[in-house]
Amino acid sequence: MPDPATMANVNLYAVLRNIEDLVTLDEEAGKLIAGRREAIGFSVHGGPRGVLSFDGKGGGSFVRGAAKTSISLWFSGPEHFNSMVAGSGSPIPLKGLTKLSFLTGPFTMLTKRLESYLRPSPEALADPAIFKATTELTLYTAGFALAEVGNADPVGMLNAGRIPDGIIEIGIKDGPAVSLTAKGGCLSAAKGRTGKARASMTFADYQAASGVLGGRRDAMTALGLGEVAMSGFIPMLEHMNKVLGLVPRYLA
Amino acid sequence: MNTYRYPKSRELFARAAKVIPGGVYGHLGPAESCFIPVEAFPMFGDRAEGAHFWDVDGNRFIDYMCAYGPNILGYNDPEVDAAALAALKKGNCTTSPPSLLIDFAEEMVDTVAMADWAFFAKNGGDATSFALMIARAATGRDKAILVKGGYHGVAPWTQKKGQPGITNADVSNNLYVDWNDIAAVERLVSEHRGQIAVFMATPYSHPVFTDSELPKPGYWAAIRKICDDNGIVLAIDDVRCGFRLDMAGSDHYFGFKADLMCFCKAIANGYNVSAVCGIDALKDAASSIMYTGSYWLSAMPLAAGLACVRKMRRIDAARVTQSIGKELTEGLVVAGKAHGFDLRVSGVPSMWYMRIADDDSLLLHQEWVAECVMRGVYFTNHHNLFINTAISKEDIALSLEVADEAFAIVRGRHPKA
Repeated sequence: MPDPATMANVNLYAVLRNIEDLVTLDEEAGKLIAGRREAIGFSVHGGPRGVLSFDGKGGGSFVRGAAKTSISLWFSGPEHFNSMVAGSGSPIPLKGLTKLSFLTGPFTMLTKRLESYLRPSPEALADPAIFKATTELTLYTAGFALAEVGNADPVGMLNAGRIPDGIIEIGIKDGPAVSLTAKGGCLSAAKGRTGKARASMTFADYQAASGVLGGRRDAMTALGLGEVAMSGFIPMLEHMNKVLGLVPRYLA
Repeated sequence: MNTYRYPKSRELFARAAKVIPGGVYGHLGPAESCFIPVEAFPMFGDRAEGAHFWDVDGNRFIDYMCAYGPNILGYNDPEVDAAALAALKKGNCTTSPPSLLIDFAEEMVDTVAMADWAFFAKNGGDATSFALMIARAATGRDKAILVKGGYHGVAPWTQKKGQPGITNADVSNNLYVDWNDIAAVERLVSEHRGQIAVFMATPYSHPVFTDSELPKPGYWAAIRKICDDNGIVLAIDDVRCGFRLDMAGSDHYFGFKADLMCFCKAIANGYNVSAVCGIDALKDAASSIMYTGSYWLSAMPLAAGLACVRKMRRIDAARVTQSIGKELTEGLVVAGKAHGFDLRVSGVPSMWYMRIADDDSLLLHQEWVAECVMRGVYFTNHHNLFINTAISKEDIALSLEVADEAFAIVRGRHPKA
């Protein structure tokens, strides 16, 4: 059974965080925030905290922890926050009451756009642009969720604790990547490559990444077929993959 | 030198992937075996003879993995195969067991210094699990002290908490110590007085991804004494080392006497049989346990094991494989040095471990191994390697030539590494 606290971390730091990329990857999403300069704070009692910002020029960014906000949303606990993400609960606005229309309007539509990318229909995936954006967002979601599951899920922590220190690069050849830093059993994720990876897992192309991350192809078979390549200090990947195996429980 | 290509292997793997989990699962598959990059390695073998195997594309390899240990006398050894085939023709897997069972047990008792009796099963994991059960039956205790990084098979108790398919209960009786840490063993014994059934370890530390480490002076004598003083069974997992260190057992090689010894791999030159040998004091406990399998008393592998052990004793396979391993590994180190690489060799030469130590990611080592494999010298990346007695001087010379070319290629790609 998924741990609610881990689920809340995954929901904020891995799922909602994607909106920072969505607004540039998806034209419709970009239109929703055009000209809007907002900073939405999420504060979960006993759980995660972060701020999602739009710069008024079509760009988005997410910061973990506290930052200046124009709208502040408070949640009584991880379960409360998880219920909002699942669509069955509502936040308690503490600041920005006059901007509630942004929350109920553009922001809600943004989350629906995000869901359409993270849970795409077969028809949507037939569109090459949507397929590419979906795969990129899925890669980021998986990479950031991996760090949260490794840091908070009881079984994830056991396996994350066995990952030797260093940077693991998970990416698509000539495409996007997530760098996962392991230090003393704690994981942190960042977008992009560092050039200092001690181990790497590289998908041959977007199709390969989509197949494995979407659960349609197991990683072992993909490796044998050359759809994913692993190199470097393999014990890092071996233990990381055991954490990655837990991630779908939190994204289902 | 020409490099190999593997179109048929790829074609077969694509077929396999449709109907077999992982395509090829376990230690012979591309994931567990660390085929890096996967394109450099064959996926399926076609035939084998002596020190060599040929893949489905017709490429020949000098095999330094020896099927991960079972090949000790060379593939298709005529003596072993003749004995096995004769037993097969007479009757295999019959209702009454063959008397070969007694012959083989007597041979094991004569060969293994500590052995008063022998019990046969199929795989190394059958043997280690049985050793654990015998220790529990004999002592009435639950817990086991194991060494971190030690491999004792794939039964749930041998795996780690948090791994897929493993419950906390599966491993709740395991206590772990670092290799060569006598004080840690003493501490655990003191903390769990009267609860520890067994100390189980390999004769020396040979984990994957890490340099092998021999026991420090006095280690085994100290462990033996701790076990004696506290009524703990000392079980040695000789599945991998067995008959490559000492025909009388690896405990004998390191100068102590184990209570239980587990054998597999080299025991029958590739035929499927494993064994537990024990001291007289544990014979009753062993016989009290219901432990068996459909094929455990089949004649063919028992005959193969008997013939294999007899031949290994006659030619002293342990000494021969160490001598071949020493010549090869010394040559590899020299070849690496000539290209400015620090190739570290550890463990006993008949089953040595090696890595290029110039980077902490092992990328250089992976590149070098791939270049060797594509030129017909089959190494694997991060597991210890194995020697068999059929490896010739010509095989070693060719291997060193290939290694030299592979080092040159890697140096060319990484002039400053």
